[in-house]
Amino acid sequence: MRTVIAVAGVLAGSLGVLFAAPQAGAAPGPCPGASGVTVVVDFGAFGGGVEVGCAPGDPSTGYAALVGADFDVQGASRSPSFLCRIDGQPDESLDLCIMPPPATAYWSYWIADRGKDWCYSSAGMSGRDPQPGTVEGWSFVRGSGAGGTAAPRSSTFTPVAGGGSTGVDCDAATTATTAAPRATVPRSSVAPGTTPRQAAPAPAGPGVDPGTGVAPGGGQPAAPGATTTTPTVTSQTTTAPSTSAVAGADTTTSSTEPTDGEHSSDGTAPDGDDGDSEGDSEEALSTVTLADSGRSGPGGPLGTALALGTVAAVAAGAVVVNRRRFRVSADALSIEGVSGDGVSGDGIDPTG
Amino acid sequence: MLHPGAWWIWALGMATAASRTTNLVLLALILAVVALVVAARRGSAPWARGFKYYLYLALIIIAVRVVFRVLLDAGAGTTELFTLPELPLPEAAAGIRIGGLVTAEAVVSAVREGLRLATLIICIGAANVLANPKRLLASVPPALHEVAVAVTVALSVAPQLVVSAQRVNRARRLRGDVGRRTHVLRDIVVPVATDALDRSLMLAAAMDSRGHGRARAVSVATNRAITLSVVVGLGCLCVGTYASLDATLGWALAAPMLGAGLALSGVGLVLSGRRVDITRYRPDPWSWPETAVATCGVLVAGAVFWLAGNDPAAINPSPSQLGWPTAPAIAMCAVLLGALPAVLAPRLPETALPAGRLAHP
Repeated sequence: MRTVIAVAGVLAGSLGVLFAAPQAGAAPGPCPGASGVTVVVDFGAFGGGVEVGCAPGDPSTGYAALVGADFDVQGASRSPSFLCRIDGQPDESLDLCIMPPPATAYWSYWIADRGKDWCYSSAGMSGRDPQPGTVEGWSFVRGSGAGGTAAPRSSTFTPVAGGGSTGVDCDAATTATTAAPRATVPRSSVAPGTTPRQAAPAPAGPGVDPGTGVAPGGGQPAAPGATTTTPTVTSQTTTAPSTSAVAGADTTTSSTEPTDGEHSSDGTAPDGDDGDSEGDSEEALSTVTLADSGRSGPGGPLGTALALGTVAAVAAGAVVVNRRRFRVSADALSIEGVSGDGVSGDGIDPTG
Repeated sequence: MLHPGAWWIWALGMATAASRTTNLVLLALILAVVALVVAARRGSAPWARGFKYYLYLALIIIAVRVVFRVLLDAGAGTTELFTLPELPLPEAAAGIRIGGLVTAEAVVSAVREGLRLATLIICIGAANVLANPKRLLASVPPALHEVAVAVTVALSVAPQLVVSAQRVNRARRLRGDVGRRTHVLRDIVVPVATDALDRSLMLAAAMDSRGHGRARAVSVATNRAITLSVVVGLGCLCVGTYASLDATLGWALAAPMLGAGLALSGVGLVLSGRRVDITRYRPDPWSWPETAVATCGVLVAGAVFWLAGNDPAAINPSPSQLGWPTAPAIAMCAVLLGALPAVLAPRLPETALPAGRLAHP
């Protein structure tokens, strides 16, 4: 009995080491260079748009890439390797996220090299290591049957020199082809209530759009010192962000990020061809909702201490009551043992 | 001496509550409450002494779960612990992964699942320890008598094994065999298994000599009616259960099938009860302590179910959030309700005398 309590105590103590805050430091928009993994999430099934983020460095799993790109990820309670919610979608009315999501409503996982077609990933989010310079896509699939799967409605961005490869060669005919590039909304990494987009020295820099094959036209981004409040969300014109501008964007965005993951609204439906969409994007991006307001998240150490104290008190009560009631230990040589050999003593008397 | 049905209802209520949650603190509290009630109200009969083996079994279950999760699929998380060497699998098995990254979130979720299963088993073990299995057999209605006989003999295997292990241990200690090199199979497993089997056969023979297996003759028509109604009833129950779980068929098919299945099975059981010719001698009474104990179990189960619908994030916490484990105060109060049988049930004589008529007032 004592060993049971000791082992449980050691387990609980070692788990106390593992409470870490979520990482921060991602940048909006696709990854500018060959390092980092671009993550595309298509919220079209919920009436939203496509959001693009960049997980810096080399994330070790698809899950880490999602978290590194500042998406709020939740796996199913019973099987955490099954992705259930991204940024709170689908919410509890559709999926309680206890069991793994059904095949008729789930987040499908797509991978692609930059500039190539989307391929349906055969491994799960924790089962593969995305290469830096590749693109990961998540798109929510509803409905059953083969016609239900659809790749994210985004291009896979222009290839960069030195980018990695997924190593998967999928036939363009068998995978869902990418739709015409839609205006994508880069991940807002700004705290709610503050002015969105403090960062961008390049007004069109972070607001980069998928431009497959479109030659980088348009003006070069403004000087890094300029602080425009919102990026323009354009659809057809693209600007290849210069690395210096985006590097400036990176550092400034990271300085305005709060430590807690924030969430942008899923209702951001950017207008397709609206070139002058400063106002649009501002109101779209500034509707930031805190998706975890409805959750009673984990409490602090005081709550844990109280709760565990209650449990320990009840368990100690059980041990004490047991000791007090059965003072003679159930030893082999005690009275109950020796005379318990008869038929009536061993509990097999059928008449009770 | 409480009616055994009350203990079983209480234990099943606690088990139902445990099956609905994966909150570490809540599960640990259910465990502690069950242990408290067992300590306070168990008898000193040999079959009532095996509770610590259920606790050992619980620890083994948690350990096995964690080991399998670490080996097979522990990558879903951000707090990386270590990386096991990955076993390369052919492309056809691309969805399976052996080894690889191990994250803290996955380990914690495995501990949660293991603790849930362990709590379930401990609740059933508590029912075994608190409720006299022979009195339970005596309280079953005649229609279920034959089933109950088989279940009782099967249920007595576990406590029987415990008793046999204690006897074998005692004999070895008296012989001086403890401390020398032990061949586990030859010295412990074989004697214990043989002893348990012998005692089970003795129990069956004793029950048979008292007339437990005898059946009264009924007409051929009644026999046919019994068979037909039971088989068709079970078929309807199967179809109804499947329909209730399937999303497309829905309740339009499930409800009538389940109703028809229950009705037909009930008719079959009542008819087959006519074949059994037993009377009950001094049946256990069911009075207010029994109702109170059973109500406690049902209330705990109902409260946890309601809270799981109301506050799912606390009762079934997300595996991707590692934080200070806690449970809502209302859930903890509801579970503490389940400790009331420790005072509501009648007290047993606290004696170390051998079990027998003295221990069953």
